Amino acid sequence: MFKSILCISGLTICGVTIMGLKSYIAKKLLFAAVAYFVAITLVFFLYHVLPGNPANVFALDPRVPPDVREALLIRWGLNEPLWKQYFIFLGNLLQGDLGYSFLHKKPVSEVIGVSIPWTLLLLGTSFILNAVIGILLGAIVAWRRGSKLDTGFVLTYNVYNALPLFFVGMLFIALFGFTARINNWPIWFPTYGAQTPGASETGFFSYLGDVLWHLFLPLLVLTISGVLGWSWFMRGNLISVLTEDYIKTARAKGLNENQVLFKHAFRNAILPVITNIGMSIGGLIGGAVLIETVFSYPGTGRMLYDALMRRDYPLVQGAFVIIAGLTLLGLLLAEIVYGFVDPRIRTE
Amino acid sequence: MATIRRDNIRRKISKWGRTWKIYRRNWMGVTGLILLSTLVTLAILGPSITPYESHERSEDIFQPPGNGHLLGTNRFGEDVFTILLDSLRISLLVGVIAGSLTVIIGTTIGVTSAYIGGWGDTLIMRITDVILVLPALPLMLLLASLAPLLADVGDFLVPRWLIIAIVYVVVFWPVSARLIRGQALSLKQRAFITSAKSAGAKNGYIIRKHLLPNVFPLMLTMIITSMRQAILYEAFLSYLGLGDPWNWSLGMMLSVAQNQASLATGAWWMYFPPGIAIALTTLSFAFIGIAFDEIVNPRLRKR
Amino acid sequence: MNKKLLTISAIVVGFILAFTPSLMVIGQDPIYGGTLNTPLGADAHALNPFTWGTTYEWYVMAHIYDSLVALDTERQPVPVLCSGWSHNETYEQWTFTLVDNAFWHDGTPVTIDDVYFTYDLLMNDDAIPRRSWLFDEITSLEIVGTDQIVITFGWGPKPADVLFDLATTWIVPEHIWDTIDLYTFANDVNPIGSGPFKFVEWARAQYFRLAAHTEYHLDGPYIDEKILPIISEVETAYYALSVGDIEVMANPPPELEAVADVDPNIAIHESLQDYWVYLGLNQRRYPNNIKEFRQAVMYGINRSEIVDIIRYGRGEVCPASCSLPYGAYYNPAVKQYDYNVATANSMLDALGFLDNVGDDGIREDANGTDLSFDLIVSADAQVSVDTCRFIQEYMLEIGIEVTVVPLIWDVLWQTVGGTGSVSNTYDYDWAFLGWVGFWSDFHPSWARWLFSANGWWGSDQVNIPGWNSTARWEVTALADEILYETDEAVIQTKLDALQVIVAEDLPYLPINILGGTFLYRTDEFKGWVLGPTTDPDNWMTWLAIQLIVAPEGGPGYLALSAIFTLVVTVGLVKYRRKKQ
Repeated sequence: MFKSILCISGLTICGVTIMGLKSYIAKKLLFAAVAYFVAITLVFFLYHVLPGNPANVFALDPRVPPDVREALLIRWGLNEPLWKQYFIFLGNLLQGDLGYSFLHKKPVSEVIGVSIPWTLLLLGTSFILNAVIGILLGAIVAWRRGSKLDTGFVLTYNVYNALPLFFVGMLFIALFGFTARINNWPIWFPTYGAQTPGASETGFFSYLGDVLWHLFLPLLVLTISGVLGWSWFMRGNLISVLTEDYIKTARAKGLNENQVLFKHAFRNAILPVITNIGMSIGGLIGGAVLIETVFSYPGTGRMLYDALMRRDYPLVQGAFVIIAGLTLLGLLLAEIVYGFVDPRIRTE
Repeated sequence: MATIRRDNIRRKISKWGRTWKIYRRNWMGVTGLILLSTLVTLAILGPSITPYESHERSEDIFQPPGNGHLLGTNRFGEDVFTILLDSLRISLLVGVIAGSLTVIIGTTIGVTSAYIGGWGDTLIMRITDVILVLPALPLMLLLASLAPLLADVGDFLVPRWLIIAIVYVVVFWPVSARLIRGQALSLKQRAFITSAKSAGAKNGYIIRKHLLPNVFPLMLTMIITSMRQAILYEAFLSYLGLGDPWNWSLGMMLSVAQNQASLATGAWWMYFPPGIAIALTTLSFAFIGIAFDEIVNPRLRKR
Repeated sequence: MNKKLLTISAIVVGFILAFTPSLMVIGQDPIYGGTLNTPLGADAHALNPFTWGTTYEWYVMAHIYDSLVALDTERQPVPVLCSGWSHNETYEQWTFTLVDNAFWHDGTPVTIDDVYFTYDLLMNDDAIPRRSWLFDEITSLEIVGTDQIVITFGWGPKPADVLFDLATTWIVPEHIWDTIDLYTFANDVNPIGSGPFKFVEWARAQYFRLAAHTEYHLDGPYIDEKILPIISEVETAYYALSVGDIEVMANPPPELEAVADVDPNIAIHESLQDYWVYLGLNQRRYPNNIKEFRQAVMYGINRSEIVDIIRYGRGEVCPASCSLPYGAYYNPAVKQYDYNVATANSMLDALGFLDNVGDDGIREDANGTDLSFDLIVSADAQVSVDTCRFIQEYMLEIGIEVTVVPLIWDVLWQTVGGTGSVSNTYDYDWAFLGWVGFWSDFHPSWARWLFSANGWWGSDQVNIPGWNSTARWEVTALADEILYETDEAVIQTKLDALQVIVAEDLPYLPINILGGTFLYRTDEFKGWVLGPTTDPDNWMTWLAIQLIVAPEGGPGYLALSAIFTLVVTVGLVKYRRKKQ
């Protein structure tokens, strides 16, 4: 087992395994497609089988008489039988049409399209930082297992994860957004929005700076939790790898500690971390819903939440379809990467 | 026959004793256990500890701690400490119900799946995979906002906190189903089960006597993790406006404090008690979980 | 010689004046410039004046669009896009004269055709959600001359109805709206109106940017720009207010008032809202249909405590007549229901509702059934749920058992009949709801909308409390007469009588009127226009508000240099004169 992993860097092996890789990827693609189909169907029926309908939005307004509501139902084809609506929905989806938001009077894809770049910026940056810092930190604390650093890490991880994310977010807002500002600390951070109005006209670099400045606090809260999660996982893996027999053998052979860590243990411990990517993306998106709401950040997570609160059902449906798609895409990519890195997975 | 049973019991006791010995050596486990039992005791004894009812209004409106109110009072003059105990009870209840149901359902499905094998197994696992890859919080938001449409119909009214617990179960059972199935599959190949099978033991007997006791430690760790998560998710959903407006829970307390801008107004006694209570509860679960992990997985123990 | 000098200096001053409108009256000239930040609690949807849904859209559009007439902060009609109005003796024919100097944001002038286009559109399409009921009553619409529109009704509606309901309709430009489908128009790219602010940018879920409409036909706005950042967290909004990022905050938690009190730069404005909440006893069911029972319940509710504790003193107890306690039409001489447990108990005793069975503290009705009711309330509003908890406690004291059932809004609204009759409609005992925007303080027709069996809300199709006593028909008759009555004195008398009947019969059990509390900063801008029922951030403020200190190098600097030139020139001239 140990040897096969060491061999993956060899080009010869790659030549042999590419055939298997194709069918592996095909299999994963098929699964992702099926999962996506199920998710889409689920969300469609959730909204259409349960009592209440999109026109309920107008029920919120006491001045809209029922006959007007009826007229709207007919106008938007909401009076068709359910199965027909479902096939219309699927057909439209295939053409990239996520539906129409009655409140925004715009195609759902356009409404969501505005929010996606912000979510990708927040999640993407956070994801990269999580992976890089998380894996390194995990390796360090695992290597110094039992030391004060390790104990400190274990405590930090558990305490930070014990606090609800939005609670931490509000504390950070109070501290770095407000207290810092009124007490003239050297630096403070904005607590709402993603940019200063008009900043986009001030030139590329100052705009970029402004966007990053606004990104800082939400990113920080999300990333601390992500980094701790990743390194916790990495630490666990590395610890169990370090107790494997082949590490003992390697040590017995007289390899120095660095060689043992980087050549043998690290490589083996990192593989399960990669499989965990998919799951961590789901968690990250959940975190984004909370963080975007706390920091009034214009991402898809907050859009989903806002749409839910205002019962803009087509938008909720669309936002969920997009969010599920993002998660599945992340998972798929992670699995493909994993397929490249570890041939064993393909024999499963 | 009787001696065998007594032997069994003795063996079990000594097994538990050994487990306890290992557990005791882990300071985190011990801290967690002490913390949790304190919190549970507080929650259960709640009404008899404080002289107030959670909805009993007094003349002291929005007072900081003191004057007979351990954690001060809220806007209505209600005792925050009493509310905290009530909240703790609901939150722990959410944890217990959601946590144990998740794992029980997960175990049932996981063991069944592993045992029947073949395409049945494949089908069940595909379903769990699909639910597993959907983003949990958005899915919970969706279900929790829609569930009241069902629950509010008719005379039987499900409290919101219970809806949240059930939604948690619906979203998270696949996690435990997957893990339990993995464990059950490897057990299935073990010698003691195959020999029991060849000796003519019935499936039910094997599952009851051999499979379940062996997946039990894993179930326990998972129950602990689920409880911890369910309490946090309840807080998340309450913060996002899907909490129970009629019953206090820790998440509801935090969300109310948030809406009243308690940090900005300096009303720390509204904000920190629920925050710290959530932290302590989830932390104690986490510590206990770590200690259990070390028992289940001996390699994690200190060298 | 000196004449020449004077001429030159006059030209210089004139030149400077041409670029500084601020020097029109030295001493109280407005200061131009500055950016006013006022927050929005959530993002708006489509900026469509005909179909908008929430106050967020309304608020944004109020900057962009203008109507013929608007209400000032005292709720009096003031002309905006019109220079005046008149009507014939029977009130059937109304004439509005358009101002001649109004421009759309794209530079084209506002013409009477635009007004005709807007009114004609609304008159002919009764499916438009945002539309005054008076459009149904119009029989003809015609343009007279170049700047007048004559509206003819089938009967003579009163000034209050025409000016407040019809003339406040936003006017849209014909050259943009004549080709689009108003039902699907998001109007989010570059909405063109004739209001005081031009649309610049809408960064979704982040902010709106609006710039002053420099060709606005009224005085003002003096500020350059208005930014509406979208901030959903109360705490964040407060931080933003206290560091000066935003200038106003609506309905802060009460504790923040105390915090803000310490800050000399933050002022508090309190107002009453046209929003009252009530307990609806479903009178389709016994014993809710007994007048004395409803009165006993009303006596048993400590409404001032609800205002003091749940609403932390904001707003006030609502009169039993369901009318707002200010304005010309309010009748204070109606039955009062001050909290009185003894009265409530004795009234219930007199009805024969005693606790005969089981001595459980709960009274039984004439059939021997416990007085036990479900009270449905919106689970989305914590304040409403809290109010219901208080009501539950008060009722227990007079031997009535109340079970509070928080429902999600859709289900609640359908159950009480708000969506018209469907299968499970009216299946409830008591409901807790609120009404907003009946304008009972200055709008004599309010009673017809709310109570008349021929109006919408009092009709059998909705009629949330299920009112069906003889008093309902008396009130219906009075309200219908008021609608067609034009004599102010008669209206007054009939409205007074109507309020007395309503307060006695209690179709609704009104609890309290909501108050609005606003924090606003006073250090950067001055000119906030405040009113008893308005927000500091209203349209009159938008026109009047200006910087306290002129920005450097701006018009203020120019004005100073103009004064300097004038003084120097006059000095020089005098000096030369002396010399000569």
